[in-house]
Order: sequence, then C-alpha cells, then structure tokens
Amino acid sequence: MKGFVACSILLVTAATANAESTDGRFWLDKMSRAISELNFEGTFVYLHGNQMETVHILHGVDEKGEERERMISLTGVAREVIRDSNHVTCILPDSQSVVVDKSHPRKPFPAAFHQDLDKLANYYDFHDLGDDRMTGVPVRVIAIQPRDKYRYGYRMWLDKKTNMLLKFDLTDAQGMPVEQMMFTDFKVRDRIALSEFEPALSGAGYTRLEVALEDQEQDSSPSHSWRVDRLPEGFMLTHHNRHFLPASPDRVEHMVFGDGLATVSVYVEKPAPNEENLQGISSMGAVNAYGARIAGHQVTAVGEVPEVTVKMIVRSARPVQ
Amino acid sequence: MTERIREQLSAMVDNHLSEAEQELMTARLKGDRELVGYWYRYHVIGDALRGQLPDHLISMFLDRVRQALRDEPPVGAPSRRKAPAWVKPLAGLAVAASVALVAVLGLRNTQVGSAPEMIVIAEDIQQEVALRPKLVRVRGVKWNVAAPRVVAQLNGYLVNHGEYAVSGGMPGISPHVRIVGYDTGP
Repeated sequence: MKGFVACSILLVTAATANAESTDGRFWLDKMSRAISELNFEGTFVYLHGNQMETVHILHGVDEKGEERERMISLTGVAREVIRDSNHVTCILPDSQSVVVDKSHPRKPFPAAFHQDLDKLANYYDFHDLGDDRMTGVPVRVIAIQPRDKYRYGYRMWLDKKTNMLLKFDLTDAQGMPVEQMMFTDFKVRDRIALSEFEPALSGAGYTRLEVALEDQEQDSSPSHSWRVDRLPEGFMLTHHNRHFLPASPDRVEHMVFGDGLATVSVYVEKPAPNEENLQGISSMGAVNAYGARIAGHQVTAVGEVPEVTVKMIVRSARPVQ
Repeated sequence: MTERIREQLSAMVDNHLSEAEQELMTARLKGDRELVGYWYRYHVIGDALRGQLPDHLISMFLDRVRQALRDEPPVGAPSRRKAPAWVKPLAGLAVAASVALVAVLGLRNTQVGSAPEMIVIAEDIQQEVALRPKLVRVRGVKWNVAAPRVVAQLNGYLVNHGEYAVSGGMPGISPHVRIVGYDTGP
C-alpha cells in the first residue's frame, strides 16, 4: 500500500506538469468514445475475489452506428454473451440456459458527467495520475475515489494511442481493488464481419428464458406502487417502470437509482406461493444483491456498489400508500 | 499415402507440376479425402508464410488453441476450481494471464511432405504482474445461494441491470463480463 501511495504521489506530481486537465475528464471522455466507437478484438483477464477468468471480446460498430459485442469465456465453462442494438443473449452451459433480454442503447459517457461534475465532485475525487507504462505500452492512469462508503472507486489505465481502456480496477473506499479487468492482448480492426458475432455455442436443448416480443413494451404508466426512502447522498431515481424479465412470470416493478457513475436496480415482484427468493446478501464479483420480503413482495436490489448500499436501499423500500 | 505423393501435391500447390502430372493429381484428389486435407493445409501454410491468412481463419485457429487450452491446462497451472486457500491471487494471475497471452500460432515446418504443426507461444508478463497491487479478498465471489430458481432470478436481474448500468453510469467494459467471467464451479 505504501508503495502504491508513493507511486501515486510521483504520478500526480508528473501530471501537474501537464497542460491537460488534472481531473482526468479529458481522458475519460476519449475513453468513453473509444469503447463505443472502435472495432476491436482482445482477450482480458477478469479477477474477482481470488478467482480469475479469461474472456475473449469482439466489439464492432456498423455503418449505421449500431454496436455489436461478443464475449466468450476461455477458461472454465464456456459462457457466452452476444449483444446487439436489440437484444442481449447469454448462453450459459453450466445452468443449461439461454437468457435473452432487451438491450438498451449505450450513451456516450454519461451526459450528466459533463453537466454535473461539480455535483459528482461532492461524492468522488477525480485524479489524473499521469503517464505510465503497462507491458511497454504508454498509458494514462485515471483514478476516481469515492468520498464515502456507499460507492466504489475506479482506477483506469488507458492506451494513449487508441484511448482504449486496457486495465480497469473497481476499488473500495480505501483504494484497494475489489474487481479487476486487464487486457492481455488487444487489437483495433478495420472491419469485423457480422458472421464473427454469431455465437460459438449452439445453446441447443437449453432452457430458453426470454421475454415474448409482445411483452417487451414497458409499462410506464404512473401506477407505480413502490418507493425507496433512504438513498446514499447524490443517488437519484433515473428509471421507474414495470417490465417482464426473462426469469419472472409477471411484470416486475423496476426502479433504477444512480449518482452518475454507480447504478443500483431495485426489482419488486409478487412471489408465487412457496417460491424461494434471495433473503439477505449475495454477491458476484463487485456486484452486490440484497433481497427481503416486504409487504408480501420480494424486493431485491442489485448493483456495483458496496453491500451497505443495497442493504440500506432494500430496507427502506415500501409500497406507496 | 506416400511421401512422394505429398511432395507432388505440395509442388502442385506451388505451381511446380507439369500439366499432365496436375491432371493425375487432380484425379487422385477426387478419391482421397485425406489428400484433400493435405491440399488444404498446404494452401494455408503458403498463405500464412506470405502473411495472407484472412482474419477469420486466424481467429478459428485461435479458438481451437483456446479450446485445447481449456481442455488441458498447462503443466504446473493450478486448477482454479481446486485452488487451495493459500494460493495467492497474485501468483494465480501470472498463470492465467500467461495462458491468456497465448499468442498465436505460428505455422512451423514448411518441409515438403510434413503436416503443419501449431505452436502456441505463451508470453511472460511477470513484469506487469509485479507492478500490480495485491487483491483484496471479497466475501463471496458468486451468488452464494443454492436454489437454482434463486440463481436464475438473480441472473435475470443482473443481465437486465447491466443494460441500465452501462447506459447511465461509468463507461467501461460491459457489466455482462460478470456473466461470462464467472465460474459456477464448486
């Protein structure tokens, strides 16, 4: 840790000599565009807890600006995710299922980021840590540290040539990584054929969990019946609707809260008699989920936030009188 | 199939056979599937040597190498599923990353008459690993619930949430990486 702090100070010192912004906005903006606009192919290791997986990723944008993405695990069970402008399809051989859900358009780096940086600065510290090298590649290092225990921080290593995110750490309030991703090989490609986004796994014979086309319309009528009373400072309700989910028989009430960087979803559904649901905390990598039975409903919060945040949110959820 | 026939085939691929010999070889190719396999591979070798392999073919080869790696971990690699508690994440990373860094394959052996051989080159990234801070162990690395119904529901939530998280939050690698890069093994 001491080494890291010393290293950070050195890098910060180096960065202050640079004419570009010292809060990293300049680079974050470039990175956001690179991630969504580049045709690229690469392999990265994904570390969570003491486990690691190797994932191959393919990302492309066609002439109409439509993004396509394909990820497949190269270690362990070969899970695969295919994403286009309409759907996200997850082929999961370990649970013998294919989960298909509607995809949402990705916006450039949150519009809110530019407008509300001052507001975000109340909850996060932004640092441009200057230039560094990663396996010989010149990179720019950016860090965003949370100011309280309710959100995670981020540390990013960007390729100075392509602006692509080569390494990404999600960090806790002490700056220690809780989840890491790092590209081990990466290349920009001129063009990626549509056929390359076809899934390698057939998924034949698997249980297909999919929302029927006619049910994909969201019900955004104002008849929302749930609310959340306690949120970390800076979190706002950004979406509130009812929609079907692949693994749920009825419409689920869905609230999305975010502070501009961190996002938490709250799902409320009426469980079937004797149905088993998550009670308490569960996690996957840096994602925490907390579930509780409230007023005869199953309320579950899911998000890349610390345990304390999902717990607080669910415990303050209640039906609107 | 004799060595001589394979030499002739290679010569045909390189345009070094007389017309009469070509006709003979073509007739032989029609009835010999194994020979057709050689004919195909000789073309691939030639294209690879000239740097003319199409990308999709390279990626096919890569997939096969990765498949082989997946089926049979390299000697000395700790099994992820059975990693004892004392295995330090840092040490593990070095192995996984060097496996990942697999790089491709060269097509060695251009001698006439020999089948092509794939070579996997694993690069050493110790230097990079040494720069990395240590990992913090987080409590629970997967949905720590046993009921398949609960796991299915949480996975459904996670996939759905990922779409909202990516469109309204921090840009980065897709949150769906957690679905892909998550081992449900015991």
